[in-house]
Amino acid sequence: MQCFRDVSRDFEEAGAQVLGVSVDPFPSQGAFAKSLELTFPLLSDWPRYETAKAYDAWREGANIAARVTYVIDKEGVIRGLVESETDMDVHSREALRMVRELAGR
Amino acid sequence: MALKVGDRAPDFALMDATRNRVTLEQYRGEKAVVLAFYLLAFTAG
Repeated sequence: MQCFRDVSRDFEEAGAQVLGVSVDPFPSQGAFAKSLELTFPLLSDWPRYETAKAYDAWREGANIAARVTYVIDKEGVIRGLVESETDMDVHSREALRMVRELAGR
Repeated sequence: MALKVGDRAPDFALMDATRNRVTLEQYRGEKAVVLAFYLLAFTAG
């Protein structure tokens, strides 16, 4: 999530809200948010993982959420998605490019 | 991936670290939303 923290102002300027979703329980997530001084909400999908399942980000059996980022326009339509297990920077970079495109900049 | 570009994003209602309820709905008509799923906390990236 560091990559999103570093560019969260850019997302703000493009009229987008970044929301992180983890499957971690509240205590460790709070510690996580504090440790990184995140500038956007970190949401917990624990313990039912309904959101991760709805977004195909849940790996049954592995008990982990896949690294996937969705760009949703303000009408609630999916306008882009980024999948990369190895490079998190590509998630923030690509998502930012998409929201800027949506904003017409 | 079953969800694809052009699909309606499934609504959600989740708690943030301070237990505030956050929904997709609340951004409707206001802001685009970047929803980033990630592996367990304290992993790199």
